[in-house]
Amino acid sequence: TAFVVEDISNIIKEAVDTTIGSSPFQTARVNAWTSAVVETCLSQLAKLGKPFKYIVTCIVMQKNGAGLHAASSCFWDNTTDGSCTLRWENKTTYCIVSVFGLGL
Amino acid sequence: MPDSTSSTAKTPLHPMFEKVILETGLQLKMTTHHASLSHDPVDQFGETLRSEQGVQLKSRGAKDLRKPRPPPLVVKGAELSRRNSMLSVNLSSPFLRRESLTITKHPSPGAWVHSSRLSFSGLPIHQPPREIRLENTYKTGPDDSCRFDANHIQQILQSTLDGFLGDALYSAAAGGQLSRTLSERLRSQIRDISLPRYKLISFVVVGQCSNHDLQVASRCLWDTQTDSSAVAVFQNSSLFAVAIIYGVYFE
Repeated sequence: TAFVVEDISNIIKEAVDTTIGSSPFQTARVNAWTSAVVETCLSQLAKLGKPFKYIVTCIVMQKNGAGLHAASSCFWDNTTDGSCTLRWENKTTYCIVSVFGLGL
Repeated sequence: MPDSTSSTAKTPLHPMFEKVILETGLQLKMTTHHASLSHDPVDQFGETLRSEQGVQLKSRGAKDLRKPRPPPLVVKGAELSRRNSMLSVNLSSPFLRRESLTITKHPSPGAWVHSSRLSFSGLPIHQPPREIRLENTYKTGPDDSCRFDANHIQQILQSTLDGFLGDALYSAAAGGQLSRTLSERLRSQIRDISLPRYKLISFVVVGQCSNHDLQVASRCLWDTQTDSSAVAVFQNSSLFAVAIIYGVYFE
């Protein structure tokens, strides 16, 4: 079993679409959104039943013209481990979700 | 007690030993048949056997090897089979195939039935054979001194961020490069502390300070006793940075 980027990418996209969808950015709801996205992703990944440890990171940002950069660097085994990052946006919100999978 | 001077003495087997032989398929005589072996481990092993059980390890002809020999202890047997797995390369001897080893590079079909219980390498037995390059350490968790210390690492992250960013100004062109550099630098710094058997993931977010909201969250599916993470945040008038390091123990 290897880390399949496509499947993970679909899982993330579904999770964000169902959680945020087309809602406008609201400060009060951001906490709930990030938690929900991360939990949905993780439970879907766990359902895959693969022998992996997962790390899911989510960034939700308001569209305001400001710049944002995200980078990650990993010390692991390239043959068994992988990552998948999805950039998602709607009219008022940016969302970046990263999933790192470490093979057992 | 077997007669140590006789070359054809048959040792009456303790029932426990017979069972162990069936289960482990252990063969003491394997070590004498490999030309590639250095003599030192063989001699040492012979000495240990003699001292432990009074069973003499002698080099015997091929026809005598079919008589089962009691292994001294199951633990010793484990050691032997591990040594065998590393050293046994010679396939040409038919004896090797008949008497199954617990770990072998070239399995014979009949062997797996007997050896299905023991897997010292932790791998499933029915894997296709591959080169074993490292010895097993038989560790199941990190040493106490080598755990991922979140507090200590958080301090390192914070001081690196403060030192690196300080009075930096945000620019769209340099922002990407900055985040990449920072990520790699943090990872190599934490790597220098050299936690053995830990995989590291460093995640850095750099953004422009403006009148907007930002939330960074992460959740992990891992072993809470061995794996951990550390976070550091830096902010000045023009930019902010969030650095997260995840340490995951690798068996």
